[in-house]
Amino acid sequence: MKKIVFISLMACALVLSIVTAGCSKKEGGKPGKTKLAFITNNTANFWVFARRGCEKAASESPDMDVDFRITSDATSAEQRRIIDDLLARGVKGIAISPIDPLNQKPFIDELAGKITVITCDSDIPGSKRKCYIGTDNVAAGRQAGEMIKEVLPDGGKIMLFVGKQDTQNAKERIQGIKEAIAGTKIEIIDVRTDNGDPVRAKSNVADTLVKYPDLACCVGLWNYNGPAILNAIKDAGKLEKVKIVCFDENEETLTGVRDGHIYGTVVQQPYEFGYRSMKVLADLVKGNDPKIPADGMLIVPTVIIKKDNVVPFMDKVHEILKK
Amino acid sequence: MTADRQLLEMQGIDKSFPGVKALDKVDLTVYAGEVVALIGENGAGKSTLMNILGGVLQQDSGTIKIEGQPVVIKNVSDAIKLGIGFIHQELNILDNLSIAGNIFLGREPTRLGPLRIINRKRMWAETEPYLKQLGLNLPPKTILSQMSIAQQQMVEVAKALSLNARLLIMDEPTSSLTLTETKKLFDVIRQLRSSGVSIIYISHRLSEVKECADRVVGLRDGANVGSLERDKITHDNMVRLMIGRKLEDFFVSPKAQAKDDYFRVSDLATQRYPHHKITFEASRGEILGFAGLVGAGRTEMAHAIFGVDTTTGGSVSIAGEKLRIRCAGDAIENGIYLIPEDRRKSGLITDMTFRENITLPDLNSYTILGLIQRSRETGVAEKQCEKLKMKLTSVETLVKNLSGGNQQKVVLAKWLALKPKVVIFDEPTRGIDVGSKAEIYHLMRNLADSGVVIVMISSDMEEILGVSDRIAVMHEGQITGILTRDKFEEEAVIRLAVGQTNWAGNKDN
Amino acid sequence: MKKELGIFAMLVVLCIVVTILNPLFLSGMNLQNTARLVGMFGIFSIGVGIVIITGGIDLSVGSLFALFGVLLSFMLMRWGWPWPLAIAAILLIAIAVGVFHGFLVTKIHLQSFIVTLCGLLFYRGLARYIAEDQTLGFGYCTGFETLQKLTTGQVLGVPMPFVLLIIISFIMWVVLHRSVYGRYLFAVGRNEEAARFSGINTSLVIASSYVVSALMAGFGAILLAFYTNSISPSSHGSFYELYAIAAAVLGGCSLRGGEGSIIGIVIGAALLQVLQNLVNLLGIPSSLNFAVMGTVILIGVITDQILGRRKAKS
Repeated sequence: MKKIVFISLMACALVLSIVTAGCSKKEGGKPGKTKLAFITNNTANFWVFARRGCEKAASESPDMDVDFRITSDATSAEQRRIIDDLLARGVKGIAISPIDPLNQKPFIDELAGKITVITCDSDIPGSKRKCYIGTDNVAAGRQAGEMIKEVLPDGGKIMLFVGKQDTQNAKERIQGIKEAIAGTKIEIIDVRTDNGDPVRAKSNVADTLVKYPDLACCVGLWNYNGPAILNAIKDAGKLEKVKIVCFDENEETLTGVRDGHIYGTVVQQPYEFGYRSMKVLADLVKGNDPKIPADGMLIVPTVIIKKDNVVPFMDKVHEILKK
Repeated sequence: MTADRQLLEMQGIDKSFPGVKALDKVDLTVYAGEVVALIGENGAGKSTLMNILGGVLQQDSGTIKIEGQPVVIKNVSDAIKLGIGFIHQELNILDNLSIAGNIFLGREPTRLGPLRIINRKRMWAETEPYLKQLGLNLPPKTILSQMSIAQQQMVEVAKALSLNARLLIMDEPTSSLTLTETKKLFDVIRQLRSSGVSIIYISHRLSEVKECADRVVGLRDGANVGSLERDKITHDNMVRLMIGRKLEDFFVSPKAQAKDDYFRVSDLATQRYPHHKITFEASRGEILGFAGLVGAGRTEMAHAIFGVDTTTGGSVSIAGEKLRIRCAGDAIENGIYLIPEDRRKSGLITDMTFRENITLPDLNSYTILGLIQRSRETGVAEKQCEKLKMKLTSVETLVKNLSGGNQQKVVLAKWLALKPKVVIFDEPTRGIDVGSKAEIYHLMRNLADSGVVIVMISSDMEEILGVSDRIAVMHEGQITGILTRDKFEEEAVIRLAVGQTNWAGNKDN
Repeated sequence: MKKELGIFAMLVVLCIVVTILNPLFLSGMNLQNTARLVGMFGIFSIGVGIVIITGGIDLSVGSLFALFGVLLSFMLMRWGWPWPLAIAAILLIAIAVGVFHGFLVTKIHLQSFIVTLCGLLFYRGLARYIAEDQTLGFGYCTGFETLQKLTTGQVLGVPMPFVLLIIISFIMWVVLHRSVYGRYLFAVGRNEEAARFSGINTSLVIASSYVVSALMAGFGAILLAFYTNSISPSSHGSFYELYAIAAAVLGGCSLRGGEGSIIGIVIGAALLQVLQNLVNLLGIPSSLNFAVMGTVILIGVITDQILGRRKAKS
């Protein structure tokens, strides 16, 4: 009995050491280069594009090293841990998408005193970060609102679906939509949340279709909401009756646009997020002029993808992901 | 005994439960510094009466007076405040706490005022004198789970003492104690008595009652049927008080048997005493008793034979054929069954019904295509119920609702439904009333007469001497001697039990 | 029987209340949606319930959904395996996982809480590593439309997952309440020592319960994967083990072991899904989803306790 335990423990230790050795190779970094880092706010596919952008920027500047970190459990506590680890490794600049902007402000301010900090995708207004690179989510919301107006020219009831209602991007997108549809006969019934659970996202839509048989349009605010809405409406057999507008460039979403089931999606340009944030960081760290606007907001415009421009967009996406 | 001061007077106590009149106008008087033994069969009302005194139950009618003053005992803490301490048969200890922790539970000495940090040094210091008084040589911070049942019981006694009881109720206090510990307990009882504390002593062990009681009170069917003064306390008188009839031949003598050494254990070594080898033979129709002090290794031997503990060597054979026993299932297949020491822990699943417990060891034989046939189970269960003379309203009764005697019968019934070749009984009548004991002895004898080998482990001297055909005595993992019937005598057993193998009266077997 | 009646009554009362407030609850589409979810959640709740009956617990099922989902996507999409092979492989891996858990609990004598907690952490991490943290999908299911129909289709209007639940519940009911193995599960859960002293191979019985749980998780994983048609390894199935445990406990399984019933577990699972459905149908803010669940469950359990005590007194 004791022998079995001992051998198993040794095997585990062996496996662990191999795994960690393999991992550390990836994130180690070489001495003598300027170390920069990018921290995401969750594990969505969205950030894969950002990563490619960062890698492109790094390949263009050989004296730069980019450490791309994913916040796997979407908590500010984990982001803090990641930052502590990066500081220990001697990183000089960090681009971060903060999960909890208001409450992370003191920490980020403190960090900004030690190294260069910029925010990306989600901003902390009033903090000491050097600039914000990202989407103007209100503008994005307005673009979605325009699409909703196009698809419902005579007005109608719509329902919004999102993971969490209290995140910055969700609030701003909802605000944008409301601004765009103000004065029309389009009515937002409610916002249903699913807490990040894709199964719940789909069942929320299914239940909504039951409760509001005359629902005209479903709007998905986060990247997995689009596919969830599409699947639920497909299951209910209401693809012609209920229109879909959503955000982000999920593969299923784009396919849905191509096939005409989804009217359109508002895509951010996460590739640009990654590329530009690394470029700007490098400039700031080296002391060059990064050419950012005076208000510190470097807005990467969102793009409306509809049936007429979806195919070339999909090709571009596949090319970026293939690398 | 200070004859004059009446400590306790219970008058006309009535208590009924749904469908049962448990106590019928019971009177009980106890004087200061007196040891009164309360005897009676299971169900006679002893526990109910004591529970009323201890504050666990309230009487329907009747009065209680302490030192002449009428009192009302609404709950346990009222009883404690009146100086009544109750040591239950099923120990009320917390085995994850220390000795001191258990004794001072709920009244721990604290320091640093409102912070209420437990003052462990004081607790330990205040525990010492009680431990010394009881001869328990363990540090007060010993955790109870590391102690034997016997030692844990001593802690219960110490706790009651620490509560300055004037009247101590002890319910079967010696059921898990060794001979030495029992004698120590009696010393303590004598001490307490001379310091003016009274003790109500409930026990089925009549020889113990004879030794320490000043007076014996008998209960039968909820009524006080009389008392015996000191000089009238004899075995026969007590039994007659309890069961209302003269003691018949309690122990049944065996049919003439042939010695065929059907069951053989050779060089068996247990994990606890790996260097001591056990060798013995037993014949069909024989009851081989195993005596010894607690810790002699008898239960370990039984577990090793039955396959629930691993052995470090040795063999078990039946009819000359060596058996391969690696788990309980193997033993059972070979016809070797065990009635374990702690029936609630290892003998029964108390939350299951009578029927489910009976059929568990051989469940496959009640199935058709893998599905259990309830009707077959019920049939067998009802038969067993009759055979063992158990009065159950239904075989679906949960075992935990049965009395100790009936529970032990369930354990027996489990195995008797199969085909036993060797049955090992570990403390078969512990905590069981006289009436049920007699039935179990009859059962054992009948079983033996039908050709089964019986091995009986017991710490009850009366039982060992009365029931066994031969007695093997163990000491620290080995058999120190085997006595035949003509050599049966208490002194011989005790000497062998403490390891004295060389004295005049002992002859090698 | 009493405990199941109690929770069944609660379910019925809840359904009546919701129907009164929104009759669309009984509409065909809603019943189908809810039945589909009850089917998926019910199947793996039964597995976890079996483990609970033996006195253990299985916290790893949520993470197994992520792992099995990722593997299934790889098998079908990336490696182009025929779907019967992929399904068989997933179920075999599930059995292996169960055997592993059972071994750790019975032979190394680790507590089931620790073993399955480590499983919860490890399997999700493994899933994310294999998938490189990317969301995997099944696209249009070209090549395995049959499988998709099997998992998301209907039989006479009844969603497949619910049909599977009925079949599995029936089988498990016979096993648990009528077979020797079932009796052994209860005995071991109640008093392992006494069971061992009666000749039962308790290690085998306990270990096998983990195999059952992992196998049910395997079924559940396949159904869940096709419900969402995509697997996000970091969030897929997160905390679903809590649904299973809640369903089992509501249905009468005592966490101490030795008690429980299949019917109870299924009713418990149904109750949880109806509660989620009700939040949407009655327009209760989504943020109160779990608050509503917790409150209703608490009220139900308290009522059950009070009524139970009153009955015992009389």
